[in-house]
Amino acid sequence: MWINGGTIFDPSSGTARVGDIQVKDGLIEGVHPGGAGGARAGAVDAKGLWVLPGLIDMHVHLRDPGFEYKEDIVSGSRAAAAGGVTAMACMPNTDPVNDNPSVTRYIVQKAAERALVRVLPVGALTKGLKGTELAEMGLMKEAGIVAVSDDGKSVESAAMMRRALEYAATFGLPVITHCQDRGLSGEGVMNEGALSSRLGLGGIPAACEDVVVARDVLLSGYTGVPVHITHLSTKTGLDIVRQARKSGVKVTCDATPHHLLLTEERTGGYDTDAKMYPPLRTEEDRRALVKGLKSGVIDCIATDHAPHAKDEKDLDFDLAPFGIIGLQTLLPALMLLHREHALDFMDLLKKVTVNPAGILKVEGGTLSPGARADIVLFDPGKEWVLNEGAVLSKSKNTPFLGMKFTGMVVRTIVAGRTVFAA
Amino acid sequence: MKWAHKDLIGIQELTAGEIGHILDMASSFKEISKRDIKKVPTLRGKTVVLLFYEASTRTRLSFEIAAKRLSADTTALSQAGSSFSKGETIMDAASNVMAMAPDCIVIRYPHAGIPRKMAELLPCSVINAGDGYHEHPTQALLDMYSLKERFGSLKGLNVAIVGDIMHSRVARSNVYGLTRMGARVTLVAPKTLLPPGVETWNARVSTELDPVIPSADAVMMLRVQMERLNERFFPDIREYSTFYGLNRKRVEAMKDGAVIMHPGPMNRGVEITHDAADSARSIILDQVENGVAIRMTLLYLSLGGAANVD
Amino acid sequence: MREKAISQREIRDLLNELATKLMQDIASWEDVVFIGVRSGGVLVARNIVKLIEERAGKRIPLGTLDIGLYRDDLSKRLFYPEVRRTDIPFSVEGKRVVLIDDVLNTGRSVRAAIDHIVDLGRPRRIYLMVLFDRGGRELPIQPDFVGRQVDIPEEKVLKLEAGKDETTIRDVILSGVKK
Repeated sequence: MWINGGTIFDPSSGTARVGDIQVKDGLIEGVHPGGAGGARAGAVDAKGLWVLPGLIDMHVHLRDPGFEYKEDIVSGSRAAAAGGVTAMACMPNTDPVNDNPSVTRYIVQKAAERALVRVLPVGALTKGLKGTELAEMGLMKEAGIVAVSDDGKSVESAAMMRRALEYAATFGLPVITHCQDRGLSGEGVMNEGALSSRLGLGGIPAACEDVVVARDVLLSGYTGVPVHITHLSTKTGLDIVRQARKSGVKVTCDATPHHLLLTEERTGGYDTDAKMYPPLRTEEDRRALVKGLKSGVIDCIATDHAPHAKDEKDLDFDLAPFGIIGLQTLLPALMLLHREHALDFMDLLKKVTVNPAGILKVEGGTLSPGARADIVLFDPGKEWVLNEGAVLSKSKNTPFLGMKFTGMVVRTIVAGRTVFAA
Repeated sequence: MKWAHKDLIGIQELTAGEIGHILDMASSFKEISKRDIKKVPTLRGKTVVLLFYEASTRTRLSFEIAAKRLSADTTALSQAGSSFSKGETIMDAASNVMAMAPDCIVIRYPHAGIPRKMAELLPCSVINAGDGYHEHPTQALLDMYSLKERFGSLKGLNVAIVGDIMHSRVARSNVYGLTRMGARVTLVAPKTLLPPGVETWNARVSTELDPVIPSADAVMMLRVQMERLNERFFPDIREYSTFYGLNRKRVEAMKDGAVIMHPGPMNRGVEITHDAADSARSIILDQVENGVAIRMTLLYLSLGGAANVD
Repeated sequence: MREKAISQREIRDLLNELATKLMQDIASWEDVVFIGVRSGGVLVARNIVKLIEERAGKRIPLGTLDIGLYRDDLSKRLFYPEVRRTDIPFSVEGKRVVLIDDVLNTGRSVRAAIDHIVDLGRPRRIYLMVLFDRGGRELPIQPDFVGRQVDIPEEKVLKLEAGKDETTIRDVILSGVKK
């Protein structure tokens, strides 16, 4: 097929030019800036639209197997397609945990048969995510995982974390670490500070996250094994990462759209759609994260898409589970950061295309000839409202519900096939 | 002034004028409890449901007696043996209760935020009898009333609140109320029991009790829960009571006319010795008596008209 | 809109007449107490008490009563009515109570006052004294002592205003605002 007349953004070359793209056999056959000339039958008219590489979300929870009432591989892929996400790395805290090759194979197979977009499974670091025994990383790699993580928890023992880093390195598996000291987070349900005290809710101090960020960064430096810190949320954590990088530690990190756009004030009405880990922090933290994006300390933006059923979220703030969905609002969030916070769009695009592809060592994220034809057509000026009916995920737990966005995904193509059309 | 609130969720939402109004009216209601026939027909035919999800004898009893003295009908639902323990969510329970058309629900709940949610969703009056660590407005009102009764006015009074401030809704409500009425509050606790961000509160903070005692007009002791001991907020009872307990020596160091308060129930020997609890300075029992009057006042304000528009 | 309905002079005459009538009917003052209904009735009661003391040399105990909690129209009103202190520093048990109010209209306030009094004890007898009776009864309540019958349009309100000493009745105002 041909996609004609759109503004083609290619993060690998950093260029954005109007032109035509030719897709053949699931790959990008050619890119023709200025147009290839001549009429083509069945060409997709992309005039006025932006043509982007399919987005790669490196932190997603598909809840499948085990919690299919919240989401499953198929519904998650529908939400992804509507959000312009053509590849997503799904975390292992399923039931059973993805800590052995048979669970990995289940995910890979189901995804191959029925998912609309690419599913990149992440295997566990430790068996059952219990932090005491290493998981079968080698066998899982053969079955198809792209990285390892105990996300949802941190490996509590530093000794165990060290072993896990070294073992993962043996198989060349990127390690993604969720930073949370269980003791320090305690009963906490939101950022610890004057607001949590006023609301009478238990607090999660920044130190709870930072203490483990520091530990994992130091272990990475000591072992020489690269580490990727996911959903970084604090200024102090960012400082640690920046400092470590300066001294040569191979650390990368990502932040979520909600940590870049919202603060703890959002929980003021005890709204459980603003409850997640790490919690929304202060304005100072948010600003630091945005600066970190600009300066490049933050390599990627990932949603930590965490679906929960309505009945589960409809409880007291103390009791509701942590997490919000994010697949459909990733690209709109980038537009918000671009428009209202003056961040360069190409820069932002890299954070969700070539950068995560590089860290996960998978293909994708570019629109160069020969690359996979994973393409998103995006109408940058179209206004739309995210009402409940528009959410394709099985769960609707997002603080952005009801919000008006400018910029809408019009078509999503995976391996040359259209999987979503608005 | 007109009381224009459907509900009472926290002292935070009240102006000084509204607090003053409640304290002024409370005397009229206190008088009823001194009569032979402790009843007036005012809220006849009104239904008040008490939903107490946390164990409480004192507050529940106080609300029940208050409602009954105003001739309202009351029913109390407490935690044990009801559907609460069977996993029914609080909002479901409240909707079920609502279907039976109560005029007022008094709720005590272990997690913050629920009374407000109920107030927004239910058409009846909702009175917060304590939600998690957030607020306990009727306690603060009766504390203020007791002080006003004793000192004539709250303006310029020095009140020390001592104990587990971090987990205390009584402390929070009192800080809002007392400072709004012109009193000065000093919070006293070991650093481990001071809430994060306490520097932003409208109160002085001290980790030492002795320097605060001589200038205090009122010393309010908060209960120390034994569970906190297990969570390692302080080493043991001996240390805690040595440095933060109200004992005879500290009572003697209090200035003339100063009073001792406690929201109850007391842990004798931990935060307060029997010398202090039974001392002539103690107005602890007055607090309990005034609790009924204050709660009568609030029930009257919430239910004593066809519709209080918010 | 307010108009001065009755002069201070006339008020003083009315009060004197009431005191005279009362003294005629009450032979002995031993077990007599006065209770004034807030707030207009209290004003009248204070004046009567003064006159009795001047003329009979007797000190009569005086209490003030607020009917707020005994009203029968609470559910009908938009906002709760103000509640003020009831201050009756003596027992009513076995006493002859002279219940004093400024204006008698529907009779509902008096009913509420009576209900309140019997909740405090069991008087031997309750007399009703009012300065003005404007008619319009909705309950079977009749005064034992009346200053004057007056005929006022239904939408107007009759109100007493006190002087600085809280006792002298300065003006009687007829205002156009029905509460």
